[in-house]
Amino acid sequence: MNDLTIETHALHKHYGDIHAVDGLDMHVPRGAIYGFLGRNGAGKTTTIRMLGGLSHPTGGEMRVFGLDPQTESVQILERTGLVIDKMLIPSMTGNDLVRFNRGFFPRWSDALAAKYAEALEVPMDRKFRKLSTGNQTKLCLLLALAQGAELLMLDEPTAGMDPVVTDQLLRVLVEDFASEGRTLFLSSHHLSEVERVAEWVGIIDHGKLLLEARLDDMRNNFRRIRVVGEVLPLAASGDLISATTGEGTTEYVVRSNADAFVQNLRSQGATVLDESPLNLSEIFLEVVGKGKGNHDVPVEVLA
Amino acid sequence: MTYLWKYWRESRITFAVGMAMVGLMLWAVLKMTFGGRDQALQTTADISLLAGGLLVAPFSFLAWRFGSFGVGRDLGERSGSYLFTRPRSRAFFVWNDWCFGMAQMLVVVIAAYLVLAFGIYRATQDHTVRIAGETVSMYLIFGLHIVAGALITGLIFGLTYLCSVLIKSRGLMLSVGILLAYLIAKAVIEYRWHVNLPGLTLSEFKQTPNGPIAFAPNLGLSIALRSGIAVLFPIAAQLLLQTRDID
Repeated sequence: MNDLTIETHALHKHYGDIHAVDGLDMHVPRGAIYGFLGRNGAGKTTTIRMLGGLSHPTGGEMRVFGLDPQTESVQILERTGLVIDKMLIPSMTGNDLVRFNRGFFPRWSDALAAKYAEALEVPMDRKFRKLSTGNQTKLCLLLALAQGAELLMLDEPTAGMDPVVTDQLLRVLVEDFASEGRTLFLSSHHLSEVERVAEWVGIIDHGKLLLEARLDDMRNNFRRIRVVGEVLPLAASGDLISATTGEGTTEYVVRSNADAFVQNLRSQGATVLDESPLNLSEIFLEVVGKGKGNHDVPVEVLA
Repeated sequence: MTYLWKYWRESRITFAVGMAMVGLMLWAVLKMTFGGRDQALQTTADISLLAGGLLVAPFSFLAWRFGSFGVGRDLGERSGSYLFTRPRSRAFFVWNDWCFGMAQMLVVVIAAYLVLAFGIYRATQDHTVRIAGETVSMYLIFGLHIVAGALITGLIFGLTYLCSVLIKSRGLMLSVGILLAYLIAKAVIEYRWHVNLPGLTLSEFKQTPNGPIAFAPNLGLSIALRSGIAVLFPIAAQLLLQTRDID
């Protein structure tokens, strides 16, 4: 537990018949940049809301800094910056919001707030409701960053931002925040952004964590193997995610043990044309079952 | 203190409007009663009762508006997630709203009755009132007026606050609906079954059969019960916020 900032076990959140989070087991190491990936409606925001103490789980356990968000949310929130709905108090200006936040956080830094306001070009004298969507998001992030938090939980932080600001923001998050050994947990479906910054990735779909691993391990382990001919019966391995046949070849995607898998194919007389790694986007599509040849093979946690 | 500052930002215009309304009302009452020394009402008690009754309307309006500030307003503006991720308990937000809202309304209520008492005293040079043949200090009468004002504002403020937490911006309408429904039900029950339900406002006095007014019976009990009911609303709001999801 000590080396984990966030941990959930069999976490559930049901809204009537809808299982928004359905037995989530997640482990976010201390000091990691963790990309929480999922399609719209996969359960990302619901999970973050529960971790932030905004909603109550239907079942299961969760810990942030080893504390229970249901009963110890104040202690957690003193150490956590959260950006969820990107809606602040509409009638307050950026400067008002700085003043408002200052009183809540013992490690609040006016200097950091001023620095990020300048760097991100946020008009601090304008009321929140009159800011553009991008500036509203930037102001939310600025306030979270100036809290001096040990953990930053961001839900779709770059939504509504142009590429320049997105780049600026990711730099700030990685170079200023995470470089000091603090934990950054960001949910997104912008895979290229996550791939750029994340060390760990968790992929959630239909409320379940389908995969949780170091990004480097994922890149090293996931392989696409192209073979001449039809799908071989031996290919039904636990490592196999998908098998697609077309134009005289079959493409296999495996999540690990690619070498052993290739050996197995060769021992059956198959001709292996090539073996290539997958990028995060391809891995994501395969894992959530939207890859070219996915057959709903369950994918387990690699880590 | 920053949270109180936020509440003050939201409520200060209403507070100023409330003060102005009360001031205007008092001016009208004093002008009407003491327009000329010879037109003064027969007893100081009459004037006091008249003004006390008239002030219920602006106090109620003020309390109704105040009930929509704080957490209910944030939920209505969809900034509840932001507010409740500040490191404080839900109880902190509710009780700060309630205490500061009540404090502002008490300022209005107390100021109103102090001005009224001063006006009456200035005109009559008498700080006593005849109640049921007894001479009673005007301080006691105005003390009771202040209690009655605090109770009606506490009731309406608490009810509206709870309604705003419950259904956000539509809470204002719900609270008016509940108050009107109660008044209608009270009238119907009294007409049909001759059962008297308590009114929304505290009745400090009653008419005696032979004319002069007297203190209402069980006044202490009535004040205690009404105070208890007024405090139930923020307690309910706190419990509601602690058990429900913030969206």
